[in-house]
Amino acid sequence: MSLSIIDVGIAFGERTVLDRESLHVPTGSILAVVGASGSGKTTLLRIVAGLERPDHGRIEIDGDDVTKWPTHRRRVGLVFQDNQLFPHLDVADNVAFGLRTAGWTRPDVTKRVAELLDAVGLSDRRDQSIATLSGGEAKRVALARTLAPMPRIVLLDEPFAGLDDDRRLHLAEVVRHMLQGSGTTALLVSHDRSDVEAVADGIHRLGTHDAITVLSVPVETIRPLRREVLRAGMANQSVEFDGDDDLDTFHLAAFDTTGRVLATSTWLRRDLSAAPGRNAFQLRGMATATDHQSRGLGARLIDEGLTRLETRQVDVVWANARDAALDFYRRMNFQVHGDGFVESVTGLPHHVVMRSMSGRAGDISS
Amino acid sequence: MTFSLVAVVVAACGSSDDSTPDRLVLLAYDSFTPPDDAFDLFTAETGIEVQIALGGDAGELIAKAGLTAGNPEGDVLWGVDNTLLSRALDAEVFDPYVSLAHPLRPELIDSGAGVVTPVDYGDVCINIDDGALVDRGITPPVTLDDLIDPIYRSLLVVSDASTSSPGLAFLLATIDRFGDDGWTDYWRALVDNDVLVVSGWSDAYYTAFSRYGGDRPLVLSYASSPPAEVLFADPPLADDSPAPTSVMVDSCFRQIEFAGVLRGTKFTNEARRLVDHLVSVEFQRTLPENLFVFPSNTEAELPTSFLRHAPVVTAPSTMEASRISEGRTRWVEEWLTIVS
Amino acid sequence: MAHHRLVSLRQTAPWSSRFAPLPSAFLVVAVVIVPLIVLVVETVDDPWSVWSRPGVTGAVWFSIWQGALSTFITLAVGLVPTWILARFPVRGRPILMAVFTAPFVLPTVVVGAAFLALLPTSLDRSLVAILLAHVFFNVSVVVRTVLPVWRSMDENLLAAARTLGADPLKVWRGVTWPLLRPAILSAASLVFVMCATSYGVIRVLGSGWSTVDVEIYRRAVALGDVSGAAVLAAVQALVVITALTMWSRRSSEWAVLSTTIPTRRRRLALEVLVWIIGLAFLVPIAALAATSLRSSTGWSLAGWRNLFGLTESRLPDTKIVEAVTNSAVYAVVAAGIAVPTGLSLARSAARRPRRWLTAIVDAPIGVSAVAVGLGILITYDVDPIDVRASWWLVPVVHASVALPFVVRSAVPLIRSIPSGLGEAAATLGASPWRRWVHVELPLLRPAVTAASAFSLAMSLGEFGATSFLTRRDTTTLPILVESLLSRPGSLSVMTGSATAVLLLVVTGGLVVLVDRRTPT
Repeated sequence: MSLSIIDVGIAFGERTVLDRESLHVPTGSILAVVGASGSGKTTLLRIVAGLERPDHGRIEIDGDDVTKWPTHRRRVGLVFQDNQLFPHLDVADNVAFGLRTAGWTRPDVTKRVAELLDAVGLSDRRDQSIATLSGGEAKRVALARTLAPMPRIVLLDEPFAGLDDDRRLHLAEVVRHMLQGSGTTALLVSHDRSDVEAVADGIHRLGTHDAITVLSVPVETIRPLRREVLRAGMANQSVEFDGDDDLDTFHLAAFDTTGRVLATSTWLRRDLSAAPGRNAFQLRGMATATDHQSRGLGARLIDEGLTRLETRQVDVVWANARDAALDFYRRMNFQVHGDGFVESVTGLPHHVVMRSMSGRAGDISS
Repeated sequence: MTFSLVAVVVAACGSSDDSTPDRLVLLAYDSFTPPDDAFDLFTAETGIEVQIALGGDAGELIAKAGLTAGNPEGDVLWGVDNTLLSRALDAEVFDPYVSLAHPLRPELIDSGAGVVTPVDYGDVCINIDDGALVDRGITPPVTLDDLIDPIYRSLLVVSDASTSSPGLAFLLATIDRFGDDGWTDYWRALVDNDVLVVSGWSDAYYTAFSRYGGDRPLVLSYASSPPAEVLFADPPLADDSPAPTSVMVDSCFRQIEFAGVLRGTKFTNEARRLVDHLVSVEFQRTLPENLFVFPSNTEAELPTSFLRHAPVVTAPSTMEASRISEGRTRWVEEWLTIVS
Repeated sequence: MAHHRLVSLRQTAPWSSRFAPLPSAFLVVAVVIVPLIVLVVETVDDPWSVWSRPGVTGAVWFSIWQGALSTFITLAVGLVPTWILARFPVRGRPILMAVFTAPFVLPTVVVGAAFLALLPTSLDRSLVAILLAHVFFNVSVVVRTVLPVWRSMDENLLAAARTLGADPLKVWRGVTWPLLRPAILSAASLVFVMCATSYGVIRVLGSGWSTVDVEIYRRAVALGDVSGAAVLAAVQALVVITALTMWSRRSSEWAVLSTTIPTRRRRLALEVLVWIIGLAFLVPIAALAATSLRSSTGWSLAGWRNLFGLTESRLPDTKIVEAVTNSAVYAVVAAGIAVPTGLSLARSAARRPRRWLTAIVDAPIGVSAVAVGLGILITYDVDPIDVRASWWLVPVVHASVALPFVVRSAVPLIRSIPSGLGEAAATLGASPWRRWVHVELPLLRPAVTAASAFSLAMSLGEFGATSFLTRRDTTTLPILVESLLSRPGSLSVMTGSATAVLLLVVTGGLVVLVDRRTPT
């Protein structure tokens, strides 16, 4: 289930809280929305959940315009910042609430509740009052409750707020594991980027009026665009690149709010013969849709990729660039290595361009 | 905190001089409102202060007196009437004393059964809103029988005989008039003629009575009500204007009120002197315009308002206290079934 | 940042609070329970005969079905403004709160007179009047009990239910109702008891109708059957105390104290609705005010001038100044007893509610004033405890009548005091005395204010017990109203109504004072 937020704006009285926010979350992805306190993050989630009506703009889930739908029909789960566990129900009944509402039979309910409590590690607390839970435990129950009825979209409001570092890491693992395991699309908000890096596939900054969403995606998502752009007119050529499935490989894509892939890039660990012994990542498959050329999408993808590599102890990033792309790479602080062409899979001539991760342009072979 | 209160009480009750009291307690009902100087003469003559202790209506007073007979809350009780007297006598509430200090109406003296002194009398009668009847073009009813005439359908309001004293009095009047066998038929006829029964005098008079915004021009009240209407009229009425209401004399039932010395009082002699004072001319002449009753002392003159506006009722219905006590419960219970 | 504190109500009480409830228990036992027992023991000769007397079983049945009907209507009427005031911003909220909650302390004789003035005379008017009067008095209980719980219910909790797929009906059934149910049931049980044991309202308004309480009066006073009255009184007391103890769980065990105040959208239609209901509640008072101004020819201020002594009174011995003074003295003394005893009980009950204590303290609600009056008469009639006709007997009885309500109003306020503050002060070096004076007492101020206002107002308006007890030449305002309204003549009814309005304004004003000071 994909989620699109299109040009949404809302004002409370005289205060404009959200102004023309747009983003897209493809099915199965987890997007984080980051912004300062009071920037409207919670409000954005509430609008997606249907708890607030935006003054303008719309929300689309899998292409359906749900902006006017009441909350209980949207099947959008929300993990509240303060959990909002029902005080009159014990842990198991809290988790079961959405199931009972949907009319699940008792054996199915029991099974599913057990499943979820097990997944969050709270099976031994199932009959206890929620008053006995610690902050972290309550958060996990809230997560279990939200995920139980298998919602189409899951929203999380500051899920890691108030937790210390190890709990945060642990919870992040649990959250990511549960979301990915069920292939649920998720949107989470935080005031702290570092909080969410462990969980999210991509980050959207509030208030930038940016309608393009950049996320890491599975390779299947980007292969169609590779065919369209990189292998245009070369029907026989494979769009499966060697190394697509390596452990360290990640693929970035840029989406517009209709869910259309506008640009892609693939980043994989590959040594560079010109810089032996250095930790090197290769940038492959940089492609931008033909009608979106020269709009800086490529630059954004490269920035995003470089940011992700910062934490991975990478020394150098390199790519095979065609002639026409050399100016672009130079602008991105890449240097052309050597004078000659290199062979490429397609048979078209490429140059090697590279860039040091320390940020210094220049020859690193010395 | 309650501990200290009990201690205070113990201390206070420790002392009492048995020889001559400096204070007598006169028990009466809530609406006992003599003028402030009513007992000054008594105090001047005897050196004894009179403390008035109020507690509920006459019925409640007697119920309480009955329970505390022999160990009373006060020394003299004002306000037992002929409908309650038998109950008081049965409970031996009083120490017998009939005051002979002043001339009293002869027909009243014996009604005290030789135990209590009659202090005043009042007549419970149907009052008529004259103006309202004129507006409807109806002549005022004269006899009790008139009230069951269809001309007077839906015009009468009375109060509940089981909770209100005038209501009971009116019931007794009908029993006296129509006898043990006839009164139930009379009341069934009244009910057929759409009589309204309300819970109390106040409800009847101030809500149902046409003079105060209701729709019934015939209300059960007192013979002393017309003078009150004149005295408390607003805007004030000129002295010689007629009263706005009049009385249906044939419906009147005489209520006699008594005062008596409570059995168990420590100061019997002084209490008797207080009873004497209660029937003295000086005290009795304050009664009409304060309590709206007629004095039992034959020498006490009526004020102008009463002379002008109160009817002279020569032959009211009456009933002996013993007969009242014997039949009251069953009459009231049967009446309740008729009017409910 | 929003957070929730789940208040656990099982904290061990320090030793001093074990003795704290004793004065209030002693008060109720001495004033209500012992006299009732003595009355039964000394006057009952045959406990069975009264049940076959005409009207008695009818009265029992009427008490039950009328009580249930009154409760149902009161809940239906009362929950609407409660809901609106709890969930939406409303302009003029303090005024509306006063209008809905003040009626409880108003004198029945006065309100009865007001309703009589309002309703046209027709055959069935007494039952309608009784129901209306009961609703008028008891909506206050619903609002006071349910509103704080509803208001503190976090909007987001309901939103969470909606995100879990619950439509509005399921949200109500699954979340709102379970959280409100204890408060609503508590309110309903109290309202039922008050309506089933209704005395003043039935006596004034209900011609022909009789509850058990009125029947007790009738038996004892009108028919001279004290034995029957005592039997009825004892049975009623037992049933009421049992009912209250069983149903009136005073709090929910999970008090969720939300500290977020979400922005709520204004809904004009609902604001208008709650205001219309509020204005309807003011109608009886307006009717009474109108009666006080209506003379035989038109409008006149004579009644009011009389009341304030601005003209020479033609009414004999109106004694208004004396009535005002007496009422005030009684009220202050009664409050002086009820507030400390009630608060000390509330403090220990807030931490650890005990069933038997609740039962005892609630006794005055359901015991007949007539029975208590008679009981006191024959219990404390021997030296050295002969307190009959003592001046302080009246305020002591007032205090015991007010006590259950003082406790009920104080307990939630005390519960909302954060428990850690005293401990924090201790760690900062404050001795117990300092803690009491500088931390606890100031925090108790809302509870003290509420308790005092309630107690004062109830004492000012008390009629039944006051008039029954023998008082040494003291008249109170409600008794004065009653005697003025028992006298013919325009001036009498105008002055009586004016006094009634004054009494309403004063008692109502006291209650308004409470709500202005208490944080909601």
